[in-house]
Amino acid sequence: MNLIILRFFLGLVALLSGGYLFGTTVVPPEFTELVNGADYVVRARVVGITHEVRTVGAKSMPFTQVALEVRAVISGEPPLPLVLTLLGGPIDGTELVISGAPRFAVGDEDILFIADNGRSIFPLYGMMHGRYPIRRDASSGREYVTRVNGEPLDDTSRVSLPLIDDALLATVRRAARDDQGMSPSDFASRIQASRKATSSK
Amino acid sequence: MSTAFLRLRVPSIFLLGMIYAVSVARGHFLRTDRSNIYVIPWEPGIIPIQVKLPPPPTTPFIDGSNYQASFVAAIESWNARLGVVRMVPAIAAEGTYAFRNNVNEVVMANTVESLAFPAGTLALTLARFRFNTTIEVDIIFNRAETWDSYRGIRRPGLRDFQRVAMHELGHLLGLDHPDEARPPQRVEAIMNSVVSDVDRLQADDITGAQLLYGARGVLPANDYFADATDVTMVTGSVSVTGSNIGSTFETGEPFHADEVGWGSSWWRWTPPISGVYTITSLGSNFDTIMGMYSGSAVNALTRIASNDDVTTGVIRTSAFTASVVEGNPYFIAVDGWAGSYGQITLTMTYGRVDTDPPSRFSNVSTNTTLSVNEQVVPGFVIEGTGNRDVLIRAIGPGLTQFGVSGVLEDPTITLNRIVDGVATVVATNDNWSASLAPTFQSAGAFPLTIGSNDAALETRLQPGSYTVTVGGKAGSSGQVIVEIYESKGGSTPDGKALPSRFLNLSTNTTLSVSEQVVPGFVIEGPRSRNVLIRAIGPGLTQFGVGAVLADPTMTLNRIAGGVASVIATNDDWAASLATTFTAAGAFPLSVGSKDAAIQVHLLPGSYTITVGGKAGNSGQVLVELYEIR
Repeated sequence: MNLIILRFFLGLVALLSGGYLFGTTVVPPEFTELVNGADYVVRARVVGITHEVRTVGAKSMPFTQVALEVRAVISGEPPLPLVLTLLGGPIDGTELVISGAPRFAVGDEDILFIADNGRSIFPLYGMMHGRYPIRRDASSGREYVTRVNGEPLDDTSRVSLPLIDDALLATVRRAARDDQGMSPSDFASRIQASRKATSSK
Repeated sequence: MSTAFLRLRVPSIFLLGMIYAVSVARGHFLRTDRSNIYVIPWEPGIIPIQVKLPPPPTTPFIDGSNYQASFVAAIESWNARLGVVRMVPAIAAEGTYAFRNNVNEVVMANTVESLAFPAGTLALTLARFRFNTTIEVDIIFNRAETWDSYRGIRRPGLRDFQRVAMHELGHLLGLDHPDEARPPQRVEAIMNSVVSDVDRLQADDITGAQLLYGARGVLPANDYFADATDVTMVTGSVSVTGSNIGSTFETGEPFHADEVGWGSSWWRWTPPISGVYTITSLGSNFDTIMGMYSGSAVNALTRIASNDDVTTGVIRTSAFTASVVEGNPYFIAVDGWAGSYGQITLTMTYGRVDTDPPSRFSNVSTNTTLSVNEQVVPGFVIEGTGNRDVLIRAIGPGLTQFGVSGVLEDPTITLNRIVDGVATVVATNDNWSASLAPTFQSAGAFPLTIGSNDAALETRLQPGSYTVTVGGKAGSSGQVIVEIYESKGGSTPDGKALPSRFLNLSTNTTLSVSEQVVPGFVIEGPRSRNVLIRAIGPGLTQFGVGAVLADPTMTLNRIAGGVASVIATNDDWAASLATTFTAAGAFPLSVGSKDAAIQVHLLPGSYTITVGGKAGNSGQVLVELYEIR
């Protein structure tokens, strides 16, 4: 499927979705908003997950610490070592979860748009919209970037699409045998270009 | 607009519609614990909710409601669909929520535990659970948003409080975002992380909630022992589904696996053959306990086997093996540990699936009628590292003892080994040698009259592919049965037994109009066997074969006590089997072709495959039998 057709589908999806102006839980950010809203962007692998109970005001609250091995800094200046702090985890024989929030597992490798780490209940910009898992094609070994639902991401304009419409578009792409996600380095280049364009204004 | 756009518009929209229609069938993503298997519902009963939202505004919302009324309406939309739970709101003064107070609270706030909402987040649901039961949920709406309440299309700058409330209440009940599932799901649902103009519960939302809590007034039909659901088993493995949502624990009912009983559902199963079976709750979405019994009353049962967890607290599936007697009824109860409940999958499989050696094909046969100069060519594959002693017979005159007339009077056999597509003759026979009579007996083959013109040979074969070409001498024609037996166990060159075995068996023949070919096979051993059977006509054209059977059909029968019972039939194969073909090493078929194929799990026993052509077809057909591992 060539670029013209893909753009047509993007337009068609946007038309049919009637302008998804808001979400029940999260409003998907535009790509430039995502890049500029993040304090830093990294390619990182989860190397450890621990839980702890902290005192917040007068309360004890469970938090989950996600230790990251930073493979590449794409934008910003993250602290090293980098540990994400998420609200939720075990406490007193029970477990607290934020419904609908993405789950991390050791070994996961993603491009992460990190914002307000330690100041927000979930330190990814736009929650699930700030996480882009990296997958490897089983036959070719090629790495590519996906959205949080596993659909290959081949155009940065797609980050602002609701996941439901992104899945639809991906199905169209598969039907046309054109479901290649962009490589992590290509995605990183576009992030850096967007950041540079914004800062030069 | 470019012409490319114009050319694409109609078919693209059509394609879009098709994809939407197809993908709507999936969805209802349920929140699970870290296992990604077990759901986390509430205990049956009332779910009290403290509604501590801002007071009614001076100007009512667009739909005439306020925060409280809009939220209660969202609750009632769910309640109308729920079986064993009901949310009950209590309107309170605006306030804050307290974490770990075991009170479900709904509030409006600028922060969550002094932490910011992530960018773009309208509301959050914090759920707390113990083991697999939800015990507290707090819903926090983002005060920074501009809220109203209305139906229909969205209004710029105004968040519809009610549809967001419906979404968060779905989280409270235990639903997750279907659009974040892997693989992705495209369903219309209030539970998608981002909604469009959906302002009420959709079918997918309701289905998901009812998988957790059942539907109002609908209880499992097999709640009581006396109402146990019958399980029919004709193949080597059978799975049934149900639930224990709303089931009760009967007076006199035993504690299954010595765990306290809460609510069980019952199945009655009569094994088709005696032996050891594996029974498992694998596939159920909650922590099961399970017991199997004999007896006729719930308070007078004899326990046969029971289990709580495969690995205590880790693999919470229940499973056991049990030795049972053919024809006797057994009762299986599935309950939930510590009151857990949900959707049940119960599977019975012949044999100890973890430890028993696999069963094997011990005999295969082909029954067909040959015209003058026509041949039938069964084939087989021996897999493994050892040699195998094989008895091959082509019987024409010997069939007359069974009342068969019109037999092939003088059949001949040529056994070929196939290497890289080249056939090398391994052995031939015209008339069998009387010295083989003891081998017939040891292999379980019926006897032949000494000096008959039937053909037979016994030979030791190394692993590989073989064909058996059978025809009639001197222009003869008639019915012939070709049989291939394992005459002894596999062995190494120095005589040690090795587990080499038949892996694939096939028959290649040409059928006249209304004619059928009937290959047969026997499975022996302590376990069931997963097999793929194909009848290929159109698929042979890829190899340059002309005059194929245009539309073959097949019927698989199990033969017990001389009586044939239909196990499965097929006309045109299902595209879903393509991956099975690959796994079996079978050559691919064109999707949508008129070839026939089935995959089935079979008990040990004797089987026949009746293959014919539809509607006056005639031509060449290849019947194949594969072992699937």
